[in-house]
Amino acid sequence: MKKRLPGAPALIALILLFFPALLFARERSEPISLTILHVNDVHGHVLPYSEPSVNEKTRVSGAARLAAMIGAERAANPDGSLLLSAGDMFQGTAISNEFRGQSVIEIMNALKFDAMAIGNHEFDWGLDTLAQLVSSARFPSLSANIFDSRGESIHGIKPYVLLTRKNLKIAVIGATTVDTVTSTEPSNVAGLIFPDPATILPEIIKKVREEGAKLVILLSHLGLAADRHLAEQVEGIDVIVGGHSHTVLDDPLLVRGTIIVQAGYYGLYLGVLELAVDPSSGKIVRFTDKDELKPVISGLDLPLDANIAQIVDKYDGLIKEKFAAVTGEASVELTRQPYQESVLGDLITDAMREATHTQIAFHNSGGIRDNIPPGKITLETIYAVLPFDNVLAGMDLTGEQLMEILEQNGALEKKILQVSGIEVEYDMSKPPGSRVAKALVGSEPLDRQKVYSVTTNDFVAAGGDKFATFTKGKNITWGDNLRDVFSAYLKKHSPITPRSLNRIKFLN
Amino acid sequence: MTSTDHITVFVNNTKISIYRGMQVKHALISRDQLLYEAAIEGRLFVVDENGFRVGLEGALYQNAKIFTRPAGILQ
Repeated sequence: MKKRLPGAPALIALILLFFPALLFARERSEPISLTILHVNDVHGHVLPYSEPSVNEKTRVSGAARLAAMIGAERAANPDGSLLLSAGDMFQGTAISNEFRGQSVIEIMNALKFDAMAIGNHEFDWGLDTLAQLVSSARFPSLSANIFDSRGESIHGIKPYVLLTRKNLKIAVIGATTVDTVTSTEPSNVAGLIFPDPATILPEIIKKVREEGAKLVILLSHLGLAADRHLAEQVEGIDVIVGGHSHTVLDDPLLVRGTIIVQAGYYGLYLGVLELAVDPSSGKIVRFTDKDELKPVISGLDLPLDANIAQIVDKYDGLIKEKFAAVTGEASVELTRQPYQESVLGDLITDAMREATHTQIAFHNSGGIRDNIPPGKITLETIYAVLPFDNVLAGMDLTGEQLMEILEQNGALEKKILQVSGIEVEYDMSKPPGSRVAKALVGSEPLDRQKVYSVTTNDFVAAGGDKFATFTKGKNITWGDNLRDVFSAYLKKHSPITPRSLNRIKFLN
Repeated sequence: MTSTDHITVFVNNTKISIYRGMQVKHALISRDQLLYEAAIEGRLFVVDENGFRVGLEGALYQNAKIFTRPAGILQ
């Protein structure tokens, strides 16, 4: 009688018991492939455009082309891709501004973004519009360092989100530049606090790790210098996807084990960061260390995403309607003059002063690029008059500084500053620098010792047209877009009737 | 000038003072308006101290260093 091997079934059972474990151990040690797709600071650039410093002949950027590139990358790693935005997506172009960002949100929703960090420019249209954008988004809007006066998050903005790809839990934490407080109109951030992310992040990272996150991504609208600083200071951040500084980071940086990426600005690039991640430890074993950015070229018959192209075309049509809409009326032609007081100059500076309630306003004649014909005033006309995206800059200047500015204005070396709230007479028989014969602020003589509240635009505030005195002001505050302010003023005060010019007089 | 209003940045190694919240373009205007005009006309672009290109509306920070370079082609 043949004897069976004692314990063979047990042996088989043991092998079966161990084999799945061994097999599982082999699968667990195989790194998983993730693709982090990212953009930042797109600022409403959904239409292709020419970037002259890149190439005058090739149009770049454009949502339809970007979408096609995203589609191709996702197709290469369908279960392992994330699409992230590091903020400042909306303010910047007519096709976004005139719809308060809804055109961009619609595109982002169609592209199924996974998360967006809140940037400083997301506050530009006020908290109500921000709330609308956040609620319209079908993806989480993130910032771990924005709180109201009670210490609560605002308007549905979350500190982080947990995403899962190939069974790996990934935490995406948002951070917003603390400079938001000083870089936007004060009423847009009234009551909000923006603590240093370095003080907030350690606790959040601990929390998300406890919730099972194996990979931690900081979606940062802080700027590259701050990202590097954070990577050095804060433990446990695997990747920083950055924005705010508009840095074209062709090759990712590695700072104390943290990978830092940033995809330039205006949708010029799609960032494609490939990661190989050990699923059990969450450690990144390989990553794209060169040429992480893919240029978005729209003008060379490259594939476009038809769905996104349709959305862009829709808003392109709608913006044409908006441009044709009447925003005011002029009973006479409203003219500009580069070297003397002009009707348009008076109107623009009056609009600035009305918006900010300062005593004085200045605007550079070089920034007024067209006249307004008599009749209906359209948005297109306003864009032709004020094509630059200037914002209002408020500051305090002394009477002495104002006198410097007025004397420089009277020297006529450059196109003059148009004024509101000031009347000045120049004796042109005197040498430059000594020509101010009379200067009134309101009805009072300009007092050199007094401090006056002044509004100008950001170009002049930077010392544009060599008016360097403006760079020395105090208590700087940033305001709304000048074009928006002027448009609102025309709407309110139409019809605009003839007015006398008596603010700047050149005598003798 | 109060410390809260201004930051110091360097344009082509020249120290300048600009208002907090200003961008790369404002630093160019402040240093030399011709640089700004060349940049918006596409004749030059701007890099940071590590040689990374930055956009004209990129944010600046205390002691940031930026440099202008003649324009090239997007790769």
